[in-house]
Amino acid sequence: MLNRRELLRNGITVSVLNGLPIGITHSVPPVCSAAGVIDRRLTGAIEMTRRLRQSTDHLHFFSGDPGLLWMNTIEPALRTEPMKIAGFTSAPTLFCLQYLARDYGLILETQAIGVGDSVVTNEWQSGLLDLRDLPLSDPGIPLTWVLAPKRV
Amino acid sequence: MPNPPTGLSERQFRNALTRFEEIVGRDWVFRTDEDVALYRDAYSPLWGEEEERHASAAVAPISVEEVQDIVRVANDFRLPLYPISTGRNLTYGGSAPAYSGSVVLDLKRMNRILEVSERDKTCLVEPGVSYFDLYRHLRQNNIRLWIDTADPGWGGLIGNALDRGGGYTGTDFRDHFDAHCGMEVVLPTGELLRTGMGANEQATTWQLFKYGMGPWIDGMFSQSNFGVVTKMGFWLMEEPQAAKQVSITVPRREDVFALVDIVHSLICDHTIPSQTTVASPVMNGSTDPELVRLRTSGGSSDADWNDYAQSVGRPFWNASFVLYGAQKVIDMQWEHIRDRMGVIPGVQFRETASYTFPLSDEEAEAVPDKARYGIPSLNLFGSRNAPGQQPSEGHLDFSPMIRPRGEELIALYDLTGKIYGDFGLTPSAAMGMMFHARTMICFHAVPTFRNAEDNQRTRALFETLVTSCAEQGWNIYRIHAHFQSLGMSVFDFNDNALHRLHETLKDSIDPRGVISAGRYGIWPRHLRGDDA
Repeated sequence: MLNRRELLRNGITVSVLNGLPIGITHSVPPVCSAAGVIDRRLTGAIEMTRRLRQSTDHLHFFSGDPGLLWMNTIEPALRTEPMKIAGFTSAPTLFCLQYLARDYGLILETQAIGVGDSVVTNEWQSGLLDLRDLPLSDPGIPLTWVLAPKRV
Repeated sequence: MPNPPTGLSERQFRNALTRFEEIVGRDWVFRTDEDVALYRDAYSPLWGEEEERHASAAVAPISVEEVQDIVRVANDFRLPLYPISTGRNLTYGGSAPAYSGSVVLDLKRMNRILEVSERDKTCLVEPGVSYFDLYRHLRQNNIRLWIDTADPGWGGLIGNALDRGGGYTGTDFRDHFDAHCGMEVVLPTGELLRTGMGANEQATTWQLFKYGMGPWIDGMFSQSNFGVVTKMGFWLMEEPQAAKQVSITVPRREDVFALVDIVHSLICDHTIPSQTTVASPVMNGSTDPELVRLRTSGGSSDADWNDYAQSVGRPFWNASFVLYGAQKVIDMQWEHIRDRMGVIPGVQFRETASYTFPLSDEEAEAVPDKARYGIPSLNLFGSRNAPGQQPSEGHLDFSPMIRPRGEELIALYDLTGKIYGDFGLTPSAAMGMMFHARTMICFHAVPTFRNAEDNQRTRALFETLVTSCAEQGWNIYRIHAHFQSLGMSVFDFNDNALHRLHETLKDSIDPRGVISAGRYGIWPRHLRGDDA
């Protein structure tokens, strides 16, 4: 497993993820690689696919359950290099990925509701999304978000 | 830096952490507020309250020798440790310690799959190995064995087995503690122990025969605090040729008596091999006010319920399970099951999925009910917040165990539905799950929040559920860390003789009380207040 602090200190070279909504992109620091994950069931998935394709070729799709995507693709990649992950998912999926990715030094950097421009930037505290602040009674409501290596 | 554990000065605490750094290296001792917050219980029913349980630091060893050294240092300082494997069992407390101020002994870096024997159908793993890890290993190496995964599948084999979690595949595998064979344990003194045949270093049967010689002590290390388990063997299921997933529905509320009796019989005679869930499509409907009224009434009549079922056009009960094996055997099993169930008027049969194995990655991805085929998933999280319900942060599992009898299932949900209603909450979904062949576990989700007022109600609800069900003989099989003393207190035969024996053992095996103080209500003498 990658040394957690080494991971956080690792080299940061190329800016990606320019296709995110306004308000998210401005806060994205350059990283060495990035991937996008999209829940294809959600309204707006096609639009988000188009935007993210402008930034990265590493787009991955799933339908509701990100388990195999995490196991077969994301976790193996995180074991080899630090990576920024942009997502268009439900809040429960974000919760899962946020929880799993924190073992690789990633924290939730930004999040927005839908594909719109309304952005909430999370302060790093507990490291977990405060779900009360979002209209999450319907897991079909999509969120756009970025998990990024914590800066030290 | 967080506060030191009670009883240690800041200087002593710093010195202990420095000793830990000498063992594991500076990078693997976590002492800042930011790092330690990662071990917080994300679903805590005490979120933000003074009584919320917090770690004081964490240390992450990579080897058994490092674990031994850490335990010895803990003894030197009388420092409480709280071992976790992956720490992701959120509904039972996650990675937060049972005793605030404990240093989390994070075993996630010990993630080696030490052995998989396709011929013997066994594996030997370290505590950090997750269901994802082992599934990936089997697939990548084209090993035709299945894991039995917890659901969600992000946890670890050892942690889940030690907490006596369950899965969904064959009878020999889905009771995860029962499916283990042999363990290695660092005792609270730092001494290393192997159980079963592993007590002989030359034995070739450590993962094949559980007992070894003399008293079989593996059970002592489950739901307990008598050591740190650093290796465990497990039996794995041979991949079947085929599988057929089926659903059997019956129309009336009272049909559950015959349905459960026949299901139980078919499980005990080995016709049904898999976990079987008996759920109510009627009672698990929407937040329709009439449904809520019936659920919270404490005992509406069969006639009222059947009228409601007719009005919503659903069968009252559904039993779902999977048949595994050779295709022609499955076909005969299914025919036999339909013959047995045919005595229930209005019974209907449906084949919901059929597979032949192995599955390609694409086929595995498309399986909707993955855990039933040994495929770890995160699917359960999709239902964290049901439509129309108040958003919550998470939930606690309240899991009473009953006899596999329809009348007991109905009585349980009449009781718990009324209790939820009395607390102003919509009752939890109703289902009896036969993880074990001779009992039903009836999961209830009790929502947790991030505000004290709602959580006070949650805790009162949970405590009422535990005590009220215990009065009926429906005890829980497992419980969130905050409620473990309550959970043990209802096992009260002969003035809690069982619990007193647990503490007698604790005093003998862990006299300085360094391992998981308070876990399952077992406190070391110096924290019980009776050693003054």
